[in-house]
Amino acid sequence: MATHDSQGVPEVPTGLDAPVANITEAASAGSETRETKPDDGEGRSQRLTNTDGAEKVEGYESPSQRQRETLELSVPADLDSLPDIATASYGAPEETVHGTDDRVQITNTADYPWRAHASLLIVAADNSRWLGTGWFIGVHTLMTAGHVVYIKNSGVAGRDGFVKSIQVMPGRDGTKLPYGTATSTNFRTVTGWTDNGSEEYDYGAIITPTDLGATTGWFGFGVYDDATLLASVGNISGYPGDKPSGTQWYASRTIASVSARKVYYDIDTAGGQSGSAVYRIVNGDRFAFAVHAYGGAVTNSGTRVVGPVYNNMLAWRA
Amino acid sequence: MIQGEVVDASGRPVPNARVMVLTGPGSFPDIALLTDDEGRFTLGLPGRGGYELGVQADGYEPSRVAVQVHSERTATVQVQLTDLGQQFHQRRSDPC
Repeated sequence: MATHDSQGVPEVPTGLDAPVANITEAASAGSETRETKPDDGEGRSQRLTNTDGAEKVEGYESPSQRQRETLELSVPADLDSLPDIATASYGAPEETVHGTDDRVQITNTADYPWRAHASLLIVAADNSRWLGTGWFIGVHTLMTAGHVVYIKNSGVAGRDGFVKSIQVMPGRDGTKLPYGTATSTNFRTVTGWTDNGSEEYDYGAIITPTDLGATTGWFGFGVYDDATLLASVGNISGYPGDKPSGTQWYASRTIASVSARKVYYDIDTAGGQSGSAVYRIVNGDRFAFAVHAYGGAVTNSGTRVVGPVYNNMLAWRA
Repeated sequence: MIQGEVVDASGRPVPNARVMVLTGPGSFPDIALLTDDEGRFTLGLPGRGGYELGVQADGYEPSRVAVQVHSERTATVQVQLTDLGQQFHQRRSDPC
């Protein structure tokens, strides 16, 4: 839950959630709510969703839907018995795509919600180039992984630190850029990532030089309790490097487990999807509750939106 | 750390190939690295152990390479990609 001062302004997080910027700007006030509404932006919008909490994509049946139709659900009585990604087995590792590839390509990327996701081309401090994903939370702010904006513990001389630039390509579909591109050199993350390199604090933001989000629209986001998340279908759309260049791919599945600061899920992803929103759909509105960041042996995982994360997101979108 | 080079069947470098971790011990950032103009890359990895990298470039078959990372040594790999057009040509020349 967001905490507020006596004036109702969300408090600036401290400790490992203390925000860090690569440039200094004046602080701004945020909202008082703990769930922030999405916005469709301008133009075409896909409002239709399935009743199971997944997007309605032609030719795609979510694994959750398939499970309900064909299998008897088997849910562990004790979800704590699921393996913790941090202590995953060193046995036979599995890919970030687990089993059958459930992902489907999105081709109407010029429509909301797909255009709120952006393909990112990142230039690091040593001029190495990387691919990631971001998503709008306001007119000039995208959320992404901390390791997209600030490289930590790379082991490569000259690479660590804030990246030099990120080219933001919303709604990209291969070579098509329906909303053009914007190059940002203005980033945010937190000390828990920059100082400690902790997975639990692996989140950050990109501030664009133009209000591109006013056109693309943005996602809502919120802080939710464990029970709500464990009952939710997680949706992820992003730009994986194992598919044709610059194409957007989507998948969904029920959340596997949560910890205080992370969310774990068996939703297929691949390198390049770091930074994607992990979101739920409620009455046709989309609310992110985690930032996808890691692949793993059993499940993939993201940084959970908890109170201090939420407060930082509010401040960064202002 | 892994240093690598991505080349085509003729040994020419493949720039802008996408390099990513497919499997590894523990968790790993889900980000992809692009090869430079000379098809080279240097990738830091989160720990020791066996990894499998995926390498893809438009117009080529995807490739996978297994790498063992030790704590102090830099592993080196060369990845050769097969041109999709070349593979199609080879299929057409197969006897019916």
